[in-house]
Amino acid sequence: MNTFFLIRNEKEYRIANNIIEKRNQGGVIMLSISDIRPYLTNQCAYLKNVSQWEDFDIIDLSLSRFWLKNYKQIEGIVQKKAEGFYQNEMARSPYFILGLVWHAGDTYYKYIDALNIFFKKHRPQIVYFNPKDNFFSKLVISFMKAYGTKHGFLTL
Amino acid sequence: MSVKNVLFLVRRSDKISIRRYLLVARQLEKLNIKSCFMNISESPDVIKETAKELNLDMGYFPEYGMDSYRICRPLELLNSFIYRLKRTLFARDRYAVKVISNDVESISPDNANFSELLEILNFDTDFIVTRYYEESYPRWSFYVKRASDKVKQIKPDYIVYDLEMHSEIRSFLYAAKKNSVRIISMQHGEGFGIEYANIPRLADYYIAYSPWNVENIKMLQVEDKNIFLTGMPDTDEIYDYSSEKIREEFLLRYNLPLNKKMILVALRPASADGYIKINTQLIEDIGAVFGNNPSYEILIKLHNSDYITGNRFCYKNARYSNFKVIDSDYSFSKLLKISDYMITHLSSCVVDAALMGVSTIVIDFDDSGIVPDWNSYGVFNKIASSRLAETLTDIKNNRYSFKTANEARERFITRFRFKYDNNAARRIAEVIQSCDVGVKA
Repeated sequence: MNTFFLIRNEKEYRIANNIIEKRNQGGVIMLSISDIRPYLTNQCAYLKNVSQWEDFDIIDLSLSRFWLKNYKQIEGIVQKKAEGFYQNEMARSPYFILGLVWHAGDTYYKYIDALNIFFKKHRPQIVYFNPKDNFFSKLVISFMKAYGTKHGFLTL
Repeated sequence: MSVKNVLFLVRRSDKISIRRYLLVARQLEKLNIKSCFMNISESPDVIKETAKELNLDMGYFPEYGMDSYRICRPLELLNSFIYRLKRTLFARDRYAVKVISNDVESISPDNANFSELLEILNFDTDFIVTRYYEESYPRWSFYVKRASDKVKQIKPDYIVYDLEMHSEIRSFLYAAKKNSVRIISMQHGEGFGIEYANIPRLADYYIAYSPWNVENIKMLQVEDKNIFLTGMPDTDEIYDYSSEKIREEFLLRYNLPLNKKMILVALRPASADGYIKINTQLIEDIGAVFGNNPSYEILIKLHNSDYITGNRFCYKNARYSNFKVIDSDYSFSKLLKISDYMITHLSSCVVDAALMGVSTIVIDFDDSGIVPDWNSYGVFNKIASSRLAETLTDIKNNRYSFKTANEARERFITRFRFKYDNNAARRIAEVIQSCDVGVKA
């Protein structure tokens, strides 16, 4: 059973260990996250039994050039929307749109792509994590719903 | 058309680009073509300093003209402040995803393409498109207006740029287009790699530094007649280097007598956490073997773009008596000329090392970038990071054999540097003089 714990700090790490101990759950995986970009970080990887995202096919996203490699694809998505909204020629020019593609790809899409790789390949059945009212938490919850993953909270 | 005036755009360009511009400007002067530097948001001193490093005659700068374009700075700061404030107060990013409600039947994301995946996740692309417009367009139109004024004032025949990532540069290019000024791209670094194949064509003409670079520019659907294979001006800079002269200069600047074995360590840019991490690790690993060793001097070279970020906090661990941190703006080629070996992660500095005949250890590291086929020529030793300590110990004990593939080295240099003949900058200047005629790649 693929059970993952997404922890932000040592406090959540302790709670995660308590849950694991209480429920006698073996084979669980702990990974660290952050509420600021690049979100999928290894900030708690120094703690015992906390894995690195690299072991789950996610490279350091601060180095990702997703927007550049997928330029056409991103352009295709945002340009369609921009055409409806950007009324003047100056905003529709490729000189301006390049900035939009970069922004969409680097601020949002690369994290969607990374989480999709993770969910598709590792099929988590339960993810324990405490969501906050921010982009990253909503994204993780959306992925969990899309992949039919159950949600557990990190509470004692 | 007779070319009289060329405008070079500088915006967070690293010193390599500025050096290239200046070397070309010197050649343009010989052809009676004026060069002007539009230094956007930076101090004009950067260009003056670089000219001094190249021993270029500063006397001609006043007549060449150098303009600064710093008007956007206060606006930029204000905009950035408002952006951060809104981000912190309202966490507006959270609206980008609307979590799927439980009663909606979930569609399988397994075979979805990226567009479909966004729909499945209820990701709101409208939100980011409109938000980007709200936040960026006022600044953009302001830049365009200012750039247009500058273009009309300077009346350049060509505008040359190196990096299309900054909106100030792109707005300038847009203004140039609208004013019928033709645009020349002198790409940054090695030139476009495969990853750039899909970005839009923003220039009329492309200077290609190598046959490898030509192949990648063609992927942008640029016609052959608009690509000019010239070689890389940086190679002109090192053509006449004398080791003795560099040693004297180095002694003066860093107070280091060069009578030991020199190991050059070329770091990745300190612009991303991931790079800072591998740089720190590399210094630590080298320190464990060579730290305080009186027979070796370790030259830790900051990446040439680090002068922009000024980021060097991560190199506190370069604490050994025989470790010297070399400023980002110091010429990398000069360091190669006085080094016995180089240790680095995979980057374009392996080509410079091959050109200068410096034995190189490359540590394998996947940074998700698509690098050229450098490795297939066998001109450097590539090792896994787990083998670094063992390799360094072998070097220290003179047990390590470096690759010396001379024939492959020639092919390697031709593919990635075209020619090494002290004429690359001259060829670029001639291209600028005769773009209308066209020189086929």
